[in-house]
Amino acid sequence: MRDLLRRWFRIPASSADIAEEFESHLAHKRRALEAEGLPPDEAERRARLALGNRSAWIEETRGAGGFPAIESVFRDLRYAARLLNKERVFSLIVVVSLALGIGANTAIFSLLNALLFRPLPVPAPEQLARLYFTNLPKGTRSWVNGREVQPTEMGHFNYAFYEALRRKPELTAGVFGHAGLGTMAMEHDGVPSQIVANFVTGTYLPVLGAAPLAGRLLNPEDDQPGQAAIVISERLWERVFQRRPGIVGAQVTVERVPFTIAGVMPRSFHGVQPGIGIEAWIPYAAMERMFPDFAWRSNRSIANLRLFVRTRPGAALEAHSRRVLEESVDPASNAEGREGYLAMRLHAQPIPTGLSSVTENYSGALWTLFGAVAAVLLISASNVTSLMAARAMRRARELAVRRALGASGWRIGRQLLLESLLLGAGGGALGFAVAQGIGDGVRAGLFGGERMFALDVSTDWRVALYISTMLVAVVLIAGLAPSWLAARTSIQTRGVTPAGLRLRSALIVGQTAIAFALLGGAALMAASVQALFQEPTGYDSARTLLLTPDLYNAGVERPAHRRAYENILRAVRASGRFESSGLLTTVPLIGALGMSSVEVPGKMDLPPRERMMIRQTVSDGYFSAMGIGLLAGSDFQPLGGPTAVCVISENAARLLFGGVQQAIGQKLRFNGPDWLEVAGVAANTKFQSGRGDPPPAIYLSVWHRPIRPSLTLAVRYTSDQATALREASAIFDAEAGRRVRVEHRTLSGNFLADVRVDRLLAATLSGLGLFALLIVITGIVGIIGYMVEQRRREIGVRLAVGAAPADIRALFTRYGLRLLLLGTAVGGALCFSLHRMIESYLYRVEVGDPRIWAALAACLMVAGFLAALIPAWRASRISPAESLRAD
Amino acid sequence: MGKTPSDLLPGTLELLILRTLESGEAHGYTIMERVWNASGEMFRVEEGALYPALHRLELKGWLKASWGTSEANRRAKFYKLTAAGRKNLEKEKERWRALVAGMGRVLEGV
Repeated sequence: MRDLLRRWFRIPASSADIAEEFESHLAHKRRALEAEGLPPDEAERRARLALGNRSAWIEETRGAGGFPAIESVFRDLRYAARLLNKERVFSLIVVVSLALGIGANTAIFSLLNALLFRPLPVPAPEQLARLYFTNLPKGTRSWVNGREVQPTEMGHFNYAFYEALRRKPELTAGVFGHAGLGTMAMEHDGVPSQIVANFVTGTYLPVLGAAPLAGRLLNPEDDQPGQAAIVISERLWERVFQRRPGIVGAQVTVERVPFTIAGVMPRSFHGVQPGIGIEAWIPYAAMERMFPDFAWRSNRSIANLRLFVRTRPGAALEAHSRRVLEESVDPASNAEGREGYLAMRLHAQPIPTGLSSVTENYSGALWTLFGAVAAVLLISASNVTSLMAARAMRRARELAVRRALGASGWRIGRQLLLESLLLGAGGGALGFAVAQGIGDGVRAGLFGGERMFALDVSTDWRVALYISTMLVAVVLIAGLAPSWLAARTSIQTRGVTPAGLRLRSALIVGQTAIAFALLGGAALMAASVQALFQEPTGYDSARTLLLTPDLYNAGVERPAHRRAYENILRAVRASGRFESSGLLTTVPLIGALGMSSVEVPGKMDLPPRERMMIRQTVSDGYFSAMGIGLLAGSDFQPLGGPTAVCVISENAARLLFGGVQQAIGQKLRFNGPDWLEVAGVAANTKFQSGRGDPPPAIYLSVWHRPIRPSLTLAVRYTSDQATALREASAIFDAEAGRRVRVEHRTLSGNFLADVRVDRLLAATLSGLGLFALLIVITGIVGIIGYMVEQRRREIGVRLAVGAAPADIRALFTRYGLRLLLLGTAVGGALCFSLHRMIESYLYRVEVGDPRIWAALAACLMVAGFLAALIPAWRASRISPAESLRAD
Repeated sequence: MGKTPSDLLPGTLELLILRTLESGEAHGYTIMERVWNASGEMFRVEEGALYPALHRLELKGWLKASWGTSEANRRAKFYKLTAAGRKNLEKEKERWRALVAGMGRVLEGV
């Protein structure tokens, strides 16, 4: 085997082997000579004479027929390693800058790969498509980040649509869907836990074609009333059941509804939703047992299913969708609604890689980050090239001598290429090592600590291909440029000055352009984040805690909730531990939104669109607990007071009644029967997010209508947050008679989560931009320093004949500034073509804000000037006598 | 004094080595002696040429080398023809005969 390998690679026998053969031959020869009658010492002498010098003999024998290239490549490699070890600082800079570039790229690419590139781990993922409507009825409204957007498509369907499509197997090879995704309370053997669960149609798992790890899949029979099967993930099996065998058939309750575990899905399966760690799949029909207030399947006005199909080749699904629409139209809708529904057009978009809220919400930010890290890799690579070129220039004389002595251009080029290969390998290895950390950091920055997100960022062939392509490109570029310079070297020109200087100058211009673009993006994002933080949300809630108790899962039946919340509010107030307290339904600044069209006598001529207002339901005490000022009128009456009243926001008062004072005592109503009297006007606040202007809002009394399943208690505490949480929890526990799980938030926490992506982008762009700037600065110091060295003599002469040191300095700083100016101009063009990447993240900042760009350009110039000044200063201090003696 | 194969046509040395090993494996010194004896004390293979040639043939896969004990009771590296070597020996012989015949015709001037 070893022989075979040796022959294959044409590796000559080892020196030891040949030496032993030499000795053996020597002995045989001596013996033969002795046999001829020569005395031993004469035999020895003759034998040695015949064989000649031992080491020369070994060399000659080894050289026979072997493949000299490999031998000498190893020699070159050793030489390269020794050289790099000698210039440790240089090597370290190169390896670290490469590692940063490659590590960041690997990390971001892995995230993108997990989210957008990797096909779903199911059979034939290319057949999967998501369904959505276009040509939506007029009046369809949609909000993104607190801003209203004009929707062009809608991806939610009622259950009847799903059933109608299922009845037409000629249109698809299978249809499936999922609805609400959320954290739910599970209990097993009396042990409670929170799980991420997804409601799915009975066809979801079978049509996807997933295979269970244990037990069976959910099937259409499970998606019927009265069935109680549930399928869990391997992750949940591990987390809650410690991989206990015999899990299939175990009983659990989810939101207090009993289920039997029918199967376990393997870890690799995440449904059609990449990025979300679903732990349980529950049949859609079970929603009717869990949330009996709604007829989830038969009420056609409920459109909460996202639908997917396996496409059937040749089936014209889109063209035949009218029949499906006719079978699923809501009979309760009016003629206009009916017409609008039937006019919608169905589309099927292939989604082999799946689709989830994570891909929808975060892929934009990831692409922006990817652009930024790709730019940084470009900078790192050009930095390596520049440093390699600088070394080639320093070694110009050595290389010229080697060429003159007959080394081929190829041989020298190979040497330089090997050096860059070693550096690239080092940078790649280190980069791969730091990629994990960078990836974790970015994930934490993007997703916060939310349990629902789970991204499989394992390395697959796509990541490997990307990394190796990057590395090969970097090594080739960084190695070939100096080789090219070296090949132009000759003894006469004594150096590579003009070509090398041009190359390095061009690289600095490119680096400056990238640094300018990165820093520009960073400055815009920073200004945007600052604007977000500075703009008031309308709340003064530094000492306010928002507590959402899970009374239902603590055993309080839904009809008893009203009484329980009344008791809790009374107990909180009686405790005397809180400055103020109140109840609310929709927690502000977490993206949640309740809106309705308001009716005002005499204002019905306003189109329904403009009468659409935020609807928040609160109790008395809410405004003071949240620090919202009352501008006129009064708060709601305490428990037992009249409930047919409302409080409206200042902008609602101006919009509907023309002023704050005029609003008091006026009447309005939402789509209910009762007219509500405006009792007070509150200051404007933001609701869905910290972005945008505060929308007009109407506050209703929480006691006026049947209360929502879960309310939140806002308390303004005087002690500290932990104490407040403990004291309030004790009150919840006492009311429920057992331990109540409480979700606690603060408004500032909500706000920080809301601007998480903005802050991540601002921070990473700043970091990457500063890194780029650092490289530009070191590049300028290096290149000007080199120029000074080259022109030492000339400077000495100039100084000797009376040039002022300041003139000498200006000579070099001007060159540095010229490079920067050129780079900034190129960077400006770059920014102009890339501005869309960041525009959608900007808040109250114009992408072309001249102040930001001018300040940035000025900063760059100052930095460049100072960088150029370092070597320029040295130049002006050259002693004429010494410089003339030096050469 | 005999001639060294380098005075002869190129490829001769290798042919001589292969031919010598046709009768069985041998170590370097034996090969030298066998060539000397078989050529009627005409060809003398120098050590400096023999060993590079042996290694070259081994790398080509025509010979297989293994360490063993010689008739003088010393460790020695023995070379043996491989199947490929045997095949090539036949080819080389053919080539040589054709060469000799051709040379003969030229010299005879027929």
